[in-house]
Amino acid sequence: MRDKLKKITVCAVFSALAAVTGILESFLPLRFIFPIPGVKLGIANIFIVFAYLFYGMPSAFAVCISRILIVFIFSGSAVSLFMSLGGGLFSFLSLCAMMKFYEKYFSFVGVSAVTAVFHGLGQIVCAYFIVGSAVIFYLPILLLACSATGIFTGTLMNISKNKLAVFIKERKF
Amino acid sequence: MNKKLLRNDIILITAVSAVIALSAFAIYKPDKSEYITVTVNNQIYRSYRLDGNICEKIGNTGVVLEIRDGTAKIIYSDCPDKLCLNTPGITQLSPVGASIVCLPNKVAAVKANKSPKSKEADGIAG
Repeated sequence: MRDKLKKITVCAVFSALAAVTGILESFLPLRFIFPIPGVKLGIANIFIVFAYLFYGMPSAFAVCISRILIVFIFSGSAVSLFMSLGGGLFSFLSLCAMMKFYEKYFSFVGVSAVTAVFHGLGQIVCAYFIVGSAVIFYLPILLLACSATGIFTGTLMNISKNKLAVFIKERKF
Repeated sequence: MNKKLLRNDIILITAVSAVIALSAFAIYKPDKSEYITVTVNNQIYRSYRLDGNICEKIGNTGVVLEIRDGTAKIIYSDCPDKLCLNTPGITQLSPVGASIVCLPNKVAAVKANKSPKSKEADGIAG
């Protein structure tokens, strides 16, 4: 019972953190580094990966979906919901595949780079359905930007994983 | 951190980047085309010459396209995120397929080789 409560609470906190960092990082002027619109660091992804690591796939999926819904309620339009659902689902599927190799073959840097690239791919696919083939032009440069931000968030995860694991597993709430 | 994992990460990321770079070669084909084709809702709305001088509202969307000094830009949009306003303009040097997209308005301006025959439009009159 206590463990279950703790799991629900931690996942809720993760969802809230993912939503807030997602909104905050959209204020970072990354477009001066990457000359395309809408590039974000993807710090929100960190919490989804940690939910997967500590509590398994269903919890990670819950965090992923609730983050998208929270952002939609506070700042979204139907178009941005569609775009983030596309990116979220693509990256979640690739995350499920990559976590099978985590610690066996790849660290978080590899996992995160691949999921970030799939996030970009999902968004391009969604944008393709909305405006048509014009968005294909963004594909290579967006995916390169994604793998760069993926390496960044992966490094953050490698650094913070052990500290967070102690906090999650041992601290009494 | 484990050395083997780090090595595998580097191999993986190099492979992914290589695939992306290959796709870039397939998509970016620079040439001296001079048309901008504007689509609304994935339907061709009109095409403009890049050497023209225009500033006009696209259909009944809230988007204003400007072509001046060989550069096409979206200079006004009523959408909430304004990403299209921050997209760099399309010039004569941009590769074919370079585009400015406003997702909320479903408007895309794309650089094209030639003007579609049925919708021939000259930038001077535009």
